[in-house]
Amino acid sequence: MNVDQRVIYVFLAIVIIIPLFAPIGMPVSVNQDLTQKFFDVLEKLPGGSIVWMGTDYSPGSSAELNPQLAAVFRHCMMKGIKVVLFSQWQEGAAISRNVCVDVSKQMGKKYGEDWVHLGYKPGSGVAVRAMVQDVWKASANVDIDGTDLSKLPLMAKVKALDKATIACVIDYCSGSPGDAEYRTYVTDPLGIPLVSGQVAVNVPGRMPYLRSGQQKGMISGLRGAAEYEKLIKNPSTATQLMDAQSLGHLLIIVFIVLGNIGYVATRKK
Amino acid sequence: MVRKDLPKIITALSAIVVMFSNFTFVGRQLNLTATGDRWLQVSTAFAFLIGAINLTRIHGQNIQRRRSGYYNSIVLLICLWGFFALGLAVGNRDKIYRWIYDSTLVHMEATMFSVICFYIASSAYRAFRIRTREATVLLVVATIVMLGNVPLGDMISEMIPAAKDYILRVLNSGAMRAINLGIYIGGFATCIRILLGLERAHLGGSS
Repeated sequence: MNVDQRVIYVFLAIVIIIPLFAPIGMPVSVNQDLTQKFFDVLEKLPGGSIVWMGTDYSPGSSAELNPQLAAVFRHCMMKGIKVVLFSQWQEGAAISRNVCVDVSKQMGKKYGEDWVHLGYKPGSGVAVRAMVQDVWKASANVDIDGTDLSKLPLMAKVKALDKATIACVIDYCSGSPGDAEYRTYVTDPLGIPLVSGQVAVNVPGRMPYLRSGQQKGMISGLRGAAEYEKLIKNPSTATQLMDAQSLGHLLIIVFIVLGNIGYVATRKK
Repeated sequence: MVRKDLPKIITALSAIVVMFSNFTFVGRQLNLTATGDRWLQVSTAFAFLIGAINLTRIHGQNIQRRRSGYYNSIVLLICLWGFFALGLAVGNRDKIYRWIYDSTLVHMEATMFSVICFYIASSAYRAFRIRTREATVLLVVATIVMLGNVPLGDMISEMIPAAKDYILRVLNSGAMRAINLGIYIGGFATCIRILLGLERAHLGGSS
């Protein structure tokens, strides 16, 4: 049974677009092994703790990772946890800054006091290694906008990416460089907890690190972002998009079943 | 001799310096790794420049010889060097520079990846056929994981997300550990070959 692929495209477009305007409101349950553990790590941190967020993704992954970043950043701002962002991908710096600026404005938080974005520095693992030694030197003493770090009060407390300064490393990644660099140069050698936000296709590859304890929690794709929004009691973008994703997956399965019915019928002939 | 052996000598010396600075007490005290890291960052920048020049050469030839689709090469070169010139003139923190970047590249890349979902849907329809036992297992597992990843799976049955978690946590983890071990052992072997000068693929030759 051969269905023209354009028919598949049209049906997929319809089932994805309609729920965006007429949401169904399917309930989201929280994954206890992945999202709940990620949430618990941040929930246990006292106010005033400093976390390091790596935003290592490109615009192609932003549909999944931006909602994760927004939810976790909001959680940090709610708890008074200070955030230092850094990106090993150039596009990740620009995208993540826009997300954090929006959330920060909504919550009345101040750049320089509550959060700082160091921007992108080339070299991936080399840059991360340099941050472990001296954040200011590795950042060339400026943040993403070229502001001197001495003018940002938060950075007075962040001289190095070490256990004494950073309570937790959070990395949003869609490939390499990403959480592997933090695992190799920061969290495993220094004993800092690592949690990560991953695109759904990366989750199978990261499960061994979660099982071994090298990662303490993980947010998996858009579903994970929706779960995190539920945990912080702030349903937002990810929750709205869950209906569309559900129907999209269902449609793909329906077409696969139809294709196999046709295949079996053709084979019997 | 210089063209063939000098790159191999430089590679071997660099590897020895890195190993010395990471695995010995004296090496760590000298902190040669930090110096090497700075050299690496500068080298990376030069590599980007070489890439841009090479790209210009190839697409310049396309335009010169009016090959099929040469107008795409014209657009590429205008965007590449135009944006580069803008960055040099106003800096990469300028509002206009950032506006062009945020308004074009970010959204075009996101659009390109969004289109991929349609290709995946039609590929899944064509590829997931129960031709063999292994293909049937793949199909069943893929269906469980796809449904388990969305709230629809929770609504159908509690067993679906539980089954998905078991597949990822137990079955998948074991297989991924084996794959990762193979990758890293293979990578280690390749590094030894590069150190000893047996591997020349990175120098433009065959091993």
